Amino acid sequence: MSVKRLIVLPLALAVVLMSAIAPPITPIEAPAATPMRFIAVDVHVDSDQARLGAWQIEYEATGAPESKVMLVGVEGGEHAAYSEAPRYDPAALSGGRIIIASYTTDNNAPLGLTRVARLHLSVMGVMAPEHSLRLIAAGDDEGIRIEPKVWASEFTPDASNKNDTNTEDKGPLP
Amino acid sequence: MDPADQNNEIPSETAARLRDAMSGPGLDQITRQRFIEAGAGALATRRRHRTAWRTAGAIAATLALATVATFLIVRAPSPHRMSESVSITLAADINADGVVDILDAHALARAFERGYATPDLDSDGVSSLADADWIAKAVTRLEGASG
Repeated sequence: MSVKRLIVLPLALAVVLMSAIAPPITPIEAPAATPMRFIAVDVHVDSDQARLGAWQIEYEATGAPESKVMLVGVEGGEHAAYSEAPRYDPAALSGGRIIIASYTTDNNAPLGLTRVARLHLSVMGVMAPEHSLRLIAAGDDEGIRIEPKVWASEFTPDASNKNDTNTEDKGPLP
Repeated sequence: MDPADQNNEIPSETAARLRDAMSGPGLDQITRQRFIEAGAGALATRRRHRTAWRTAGAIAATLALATVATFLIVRAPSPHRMSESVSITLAADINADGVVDILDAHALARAFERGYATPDLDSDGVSSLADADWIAKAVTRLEGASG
């Protein structure tokens, strides 16, 4: 083997391995002239006969691969026990997926149907996203695990919740 | 390896062939000797270059391997980090159901409000409701979230 190959081959090997290990460089997207709008999505929980002591839900905007959906804000729910914004990872903002969770030790935790959070999203593109919810965990006021119904609906300012999109556990409309 | 390689002399076989080639008429003894010395000098230069290339090759290979090894070591979780993570997970499983989720934050908050001893999960030196909040933050992280 020639001496130059002794140098060139290890360097080439190093370059190949480093390019395989290093994170891919994502190109900066040029601003596109696509329509952009803001929507609000309400997250509902129906704990039936149990008081809702804690809940943890994963939300994901799906079904609009050609539209860019970004979470831009998280708001609390309608009941006093959950009126503050739930816990979430700030890194989720700018993406289309988030895990939100909250708990209360209030004796007057909501009973039955309640809106626990409102998510604000920006949608860039003509396709409307679908809203997928997954219940990760929920418990009653004693901390006992329960399986409430959860679903999402797009909020409209005229108070009529249109475009209800729920998970496998569709419950009654408010 | 030919001993001549080590002392920068012309290999004996090559030197003999050179002498044969220059043994004809017309070349005096001094000219022959200069030819042989010039050949020896050229060989020595070539050997020095070869040694330099080999050394550079070995250094390049070592650097390449060290770079790759560093990347692999940095990316792999160390046993210490893993055991730390397992202990934090065990400590945060307040209701002992084998899963860390928001119910553990709820259980810790309730226990604290009722005056039970609760773990200092956020390592701020005191047990408080902030430890329940610490669990709530942990379970909503997008990477490594439970559920």
